[in-house]
Amino acid sequence: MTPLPAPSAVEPLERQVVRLLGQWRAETAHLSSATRVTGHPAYQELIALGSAALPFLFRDLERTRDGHLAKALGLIPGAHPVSPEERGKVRKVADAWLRWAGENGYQW
Amino acid sequence: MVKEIEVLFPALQGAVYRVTSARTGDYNCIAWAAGDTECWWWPEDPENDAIFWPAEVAQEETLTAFVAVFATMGYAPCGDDAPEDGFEKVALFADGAGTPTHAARQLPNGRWTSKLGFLEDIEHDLRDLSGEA
Repeated sequence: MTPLPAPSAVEPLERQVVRLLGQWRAETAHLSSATRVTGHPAYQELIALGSAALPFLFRDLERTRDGHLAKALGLIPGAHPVSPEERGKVRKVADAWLRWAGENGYQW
Repeated sequence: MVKEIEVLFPALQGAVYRVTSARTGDYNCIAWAAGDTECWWWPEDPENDAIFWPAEVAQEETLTAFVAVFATMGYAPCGDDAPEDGFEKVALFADGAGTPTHAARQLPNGRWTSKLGFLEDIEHDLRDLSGEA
């Protein structure tokens, strides 16, 4: 009998992003504090994934229009496409980031 | 079966409360108490473009700063939570360290309305949200 290959210890990046987003949303759903929401370990892990995670974050952003991803997005590419008038308006923040992603050649 | 909202806010179990909106992450309890359903109000993070805080108020996660936010809208500290004709009251909640966690706004019927994080708005009694969330 051929032995089964050992399971890969490396989780595909897209699956990792989806898992972390799900964990982050489930565990912060009751919070109002933006400090605690963006300080959540899963959110910090998303930031640590770096620029390779951006297409998957933009895919989620397009589906959810969850502007709370803005801090992670801002820290990864170091861009700030949100105008002062849009700041704090969660859906407009998401739209500004999707615009920026399109203009900068990201595909998702 | 206990509803998710009651798992996250255990003091709601057995309480008389009513869900009054759909879930949304567009605004939080501070915004809702201030009458805003477009922004997420929270101080102290210049790297987070998804939050709003009035420019004239200190960027601090303190009760003093949160009281100051509502002062910009004409609110003033009061002695109790009893409804009073001609006044709208807002209650601020904080954790054991004094860090603000929540705000609720009083309705004309004397009950309170709260936005629960990314969840729904509810109508409730003031102490239904006390304790750990």
